[in-house]
Amino acid sequence: MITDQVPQISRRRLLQMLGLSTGALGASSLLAGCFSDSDPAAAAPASKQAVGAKQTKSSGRAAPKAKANDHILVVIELKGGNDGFATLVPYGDGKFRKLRDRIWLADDQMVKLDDKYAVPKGLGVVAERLAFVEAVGVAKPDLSHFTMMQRWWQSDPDGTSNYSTGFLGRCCDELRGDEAITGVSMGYGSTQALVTASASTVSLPQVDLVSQLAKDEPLEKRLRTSLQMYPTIEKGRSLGIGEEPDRLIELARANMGDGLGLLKNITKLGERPKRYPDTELSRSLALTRQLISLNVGMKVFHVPWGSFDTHDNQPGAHSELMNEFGNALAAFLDDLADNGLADRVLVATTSEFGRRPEANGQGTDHGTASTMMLAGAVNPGRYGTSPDFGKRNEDGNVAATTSMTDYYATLGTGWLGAPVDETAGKGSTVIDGLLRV
Amino acid sequence: MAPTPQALTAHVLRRLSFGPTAELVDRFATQGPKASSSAIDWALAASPLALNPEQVGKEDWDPHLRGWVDNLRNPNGGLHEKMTWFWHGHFATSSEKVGQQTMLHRQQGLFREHALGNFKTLFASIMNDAAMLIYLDSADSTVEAPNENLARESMELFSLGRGNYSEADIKSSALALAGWQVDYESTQVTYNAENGLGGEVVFLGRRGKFDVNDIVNILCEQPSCAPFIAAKIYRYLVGVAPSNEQLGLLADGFRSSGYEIRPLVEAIVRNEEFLNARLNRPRYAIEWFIASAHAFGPFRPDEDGDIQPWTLEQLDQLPFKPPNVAGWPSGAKWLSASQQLSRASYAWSQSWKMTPIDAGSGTDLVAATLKRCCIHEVSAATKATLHDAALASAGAADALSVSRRLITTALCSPEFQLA
Repeated sequence: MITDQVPQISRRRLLQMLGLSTGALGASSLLAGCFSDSDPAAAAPASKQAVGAKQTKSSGRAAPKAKANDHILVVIELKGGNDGFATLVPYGDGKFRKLRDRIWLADDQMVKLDDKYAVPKGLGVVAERLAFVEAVGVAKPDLSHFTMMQRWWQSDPDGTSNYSTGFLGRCCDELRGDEAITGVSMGYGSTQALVTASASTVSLPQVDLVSQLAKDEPLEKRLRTSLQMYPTIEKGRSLGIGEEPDRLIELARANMGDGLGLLKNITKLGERPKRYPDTELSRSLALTRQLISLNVGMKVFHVPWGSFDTHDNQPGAHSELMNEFGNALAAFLDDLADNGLADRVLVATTSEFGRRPEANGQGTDHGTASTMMLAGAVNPGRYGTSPDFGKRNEDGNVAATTSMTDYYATLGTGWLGAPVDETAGKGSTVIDGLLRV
Repeated sequence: MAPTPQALTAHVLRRLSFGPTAELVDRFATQGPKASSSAIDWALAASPLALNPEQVGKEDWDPHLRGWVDNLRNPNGGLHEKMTWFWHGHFATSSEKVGQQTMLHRQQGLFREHALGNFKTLFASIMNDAAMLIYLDSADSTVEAPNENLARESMELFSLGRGNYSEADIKSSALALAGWQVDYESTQVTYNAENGLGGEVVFLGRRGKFDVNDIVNILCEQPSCAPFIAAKIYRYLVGVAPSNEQLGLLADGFRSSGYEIRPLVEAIVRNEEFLNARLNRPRYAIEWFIASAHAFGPFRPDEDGDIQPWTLEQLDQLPFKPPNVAGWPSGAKWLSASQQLSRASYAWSQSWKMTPIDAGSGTDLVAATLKRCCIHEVSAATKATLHDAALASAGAADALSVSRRLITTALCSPEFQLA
């Protein structure tokens, strides 16, 4: 359930919980800077301790095996279940057309790619730079948002794997550098996608707030002056009420320290580049590019966005979303290119499920397989196999033709170089020819 | 060490109201061993705060937001206000999609009316509520093309929980719920028989011609309904899940009372375990925000704009804007680095409006700050941090500057992040 989110536990915090750390142990390079103004000594032991931490760690869980490349993965989670059939529209398929008569887009609202496929007009600006993977999903789908979000976050195709970490989190665990924050989630809180066993991850506050804080350097200084003592006091924290209050007290204290560390770095980012439109997704992607350019070891970005649960008013709502997506992505790709990052970044979408082929009126109910989009270091085009709209199950849904885990293997192993068994899951294979590596 | 009356009172007021305020902690704590039971009596006895009638007909979000936040800040709201908020999260509906503040206003009225009333009555009202019908796409659903959204979530999230129904039950329910329409102009909900089923379906093992009330009745007859709701309320108030044995007893009582909410809540909170469950869950942003408003100074209902309710958007918990139909999540999200950073920046930027802390003669500033913030169980580390903050600003600054530094430090303390 979405209501039971697992805390993100950083390596530093894990070690602290295990009683293995003291002082500023393991504070990431990003965060260590937080204290360097007032107390240069506080940051110094970090690297030394972290070496010890790594050794200790290897007795429990394996040290990173991945051969490090400089690749960066940006996953845009289309929340609510994106209609893959309205994203890459199989408009030449007569069976499909019939099922969608009620919500069919007018010809001038689509951009035709060939005699069978089209994209909604809003995707037109990036269509030629996109790779589409059709009908991605799981073999035994469920139609609950919350069940399927969990499976996608964890790369757990049938919901039986008992993972305590997320797929992106496991990628971070395999790829983490010695000190750096490896994973970042944008906007609304954190999701289970980025829960790690050992790597440090952070969730950034709402992007609006970030830019507001970034402009206010005095605020940042005053806050740090008032609060910098919290992260450095190590003793006398037990309330004597019980284990859970003490655990939460420690979590709150450490996260406040992380937050203040972030603040210091945020103030370095400067203004949002002007080329981006002023939309939520654009703001997140602009910030992503700025953070990548800090070069502090962030490798995985998770950008949850949107409300794709188009049970009603689908033609209008989905077109608008595709419009925002297309414009934001176009600005992001151009920005990456201008900053010499075009070959280092892969953008990929996920979504808990697609929509039902047959419209329910003015919208579509929960489906199974969905079309995923990739950009950046890809060979544009269409991948996977089109679903057969004549073969629908008792719920009216089609079967997936590419498995979620193969899709994930392409991201985690094909692109980031993380071992597949530890990330997407055993037996998953990279989609052939998709990546430009 | 046994908890002090202040600690117990502050706990009761954190959980059973949007408090605490220093005044209320004082009032009950003076009763010594009876402090916590008096505070519980007070919270349970609170009468509903009214919706501001001036908001009716206003489509602008702002007056509605301020109206609700004013109620949250009013210490007299007690448990009633706390449960009103619970139902907003349970029957989550977002203004972003509904786009009609009048409808959200009316829906909030339902939460206020039934906050501690009858669950079945509230559930049935919500299933026919204009805002909900739009939010979950049931408005204009027809038998020809039934929309499954409300049918699904009415089981998964509102009453039974996963695993207690089938996809076929969802289809049946969607058929039975078809035919309702919402008029955007008048905001009235009407039934159009032409789009309705008018025939029989098989739903959760029963065959019949069911209307929305029948659907709600059948859902409430299911053995999974009472435990699902009771467990969720228990978690909200106690911070952890009940044991199976406890849950069995609570659910039996809830069901046999005909789904009366007040006796269920009383059974949960008049219990040793409730008093022991102190600081065992994070404060939601809304709880932290209102508690910080109390800490900045006395409640001033006439002053417009003394706090900034739109900050709640940056804190991820803006009224009328839950993230999705499951409402706001619980758990460690509310302690994340980003949440902490947002709280810290708000606390500092707001603190210049505070009423300065007056230590009086003979008492120290740190004690006065902790009292103002109702922190009555405090770690040595936090005390030391506050002492440092007081020392660092001693001598140089005016009273307000010292107070700002102290209050910001206290509102950012680990203790103040917990409920």
